[in-house]
Amino acid sequence: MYVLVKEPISVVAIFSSGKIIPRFFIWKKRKYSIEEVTYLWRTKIGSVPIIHFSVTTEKTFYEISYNLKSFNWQLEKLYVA
Amino acid sequence: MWHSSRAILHLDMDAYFASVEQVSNPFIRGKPVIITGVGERTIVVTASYNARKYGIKTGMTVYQAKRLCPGVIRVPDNLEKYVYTTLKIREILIGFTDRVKMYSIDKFFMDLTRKIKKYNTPEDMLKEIKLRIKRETKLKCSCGLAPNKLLAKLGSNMEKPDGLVIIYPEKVMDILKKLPVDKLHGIGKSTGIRLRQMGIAKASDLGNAPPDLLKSHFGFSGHILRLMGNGIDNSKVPCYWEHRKEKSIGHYHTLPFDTLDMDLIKACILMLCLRVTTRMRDKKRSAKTVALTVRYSDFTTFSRRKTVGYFMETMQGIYNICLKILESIGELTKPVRLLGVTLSGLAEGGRQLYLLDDLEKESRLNKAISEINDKFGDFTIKPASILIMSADKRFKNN
Ligand SMILES: [Mg+2]
Repeated sequence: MYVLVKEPISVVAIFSSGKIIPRFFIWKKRKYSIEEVTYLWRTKIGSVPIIHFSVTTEKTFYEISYNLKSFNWQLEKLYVA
Repeated sequence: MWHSSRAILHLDMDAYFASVEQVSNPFIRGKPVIITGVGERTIVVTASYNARKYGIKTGMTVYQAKRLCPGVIRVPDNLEKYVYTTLKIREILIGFTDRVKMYSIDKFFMDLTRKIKKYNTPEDMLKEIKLRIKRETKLKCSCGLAPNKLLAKLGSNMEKPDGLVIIYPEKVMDILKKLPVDKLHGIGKSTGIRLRQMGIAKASDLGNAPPDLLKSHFGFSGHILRLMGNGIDNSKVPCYWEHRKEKSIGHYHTLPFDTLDMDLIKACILMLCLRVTTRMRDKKRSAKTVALTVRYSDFTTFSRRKTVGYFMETMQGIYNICLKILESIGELTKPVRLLGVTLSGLAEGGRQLYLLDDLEKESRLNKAISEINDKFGDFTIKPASILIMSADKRFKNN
């Protein structure tokens, strides 16, 4: 089941060679290590670009997003089997 | 070797939205998955091949799908993700030729006439195209290569998923002899029924039908139908960058029946928004004004417009404005027959804030989401037109 979350998170990511690679995020004081970035796409809210990442941890799938204007990260949704 | 004067490819992504979600989420790979709208009363937009095994089809309600397969995984659709992916695929195709036309969110035409000769066999080129898409997006597609678009479309439908069908010119007549007439692209259900009533069952029957008979039943379209029956289609695949300059970008859609059903009206508006947004992006524009046109069953027609203080670039933004306009109209007094969405106050480009990637690629990606084939009109935007067709079914079943 997909669950809509839409909550702010802190993310540690590598910004290098024109790429962003999120490595882990902190949500509700817990740390989640990202094993794989499985998908990436871009959208805009008004004129603000947003980058979306599908990521997996050991057990769970998450979609997180990065606002290129505010530099805020958000946990958009997760999937629980 | 390819001996025809033209080599046209039709490429159709397999179970597109479901496949994108399965690539995104490893936990749902290989499982029955349905892509649905958001909300309770919604329908299946795309089913993965695993879900299709249970008899789940596009257009079913979620309830029906769950009855067929209780374990089916429901994924709310994410159009912008699919649109982004479509643009990426288009980018790959442009690497092979400029003559690429996006026909709908998961379908493309390509004119490979001048390129295919560089390969030992046509298969080699098609395999390479499929491989590149697979490598860069992990997605599969079904391809049909033929002397024209009509036959290429037919070919891509003949083998699915992951199909590769080549219709050689010398085989065309054999295929048309066996092909039920309504399998020809562009011949809808009702035309198919009418043709059958006239004793025209196979495509070749249509090709051999007396021109006057077809003309008396279908007017000028009779001539086109006859050409189709003979497997003739001279329409071209334009270059991806060919487009016109316009001051406004609008599109209209007549509903399959007059309705007061707000779900259906909103689905139609969403479809129109997707269509005008993609055209706007194609032209590298952004818009300040949105107009919503409503025609009632008695043909009373009116438009309401709203201008915002910034340039809109996304479908969601434009759709939200349409919903506000709809709200401001208040209660609809009569069933709605036609809806239209028009963008104006267009500006060149948008303020780009990208920090990453090369800008050039991004703007090329954004530039042209769908060059919609006006000839075939509203089949092109898939998700919402399916919403509408299924709503149509639901309406008739009730
Ligand atoms: Mg498809």
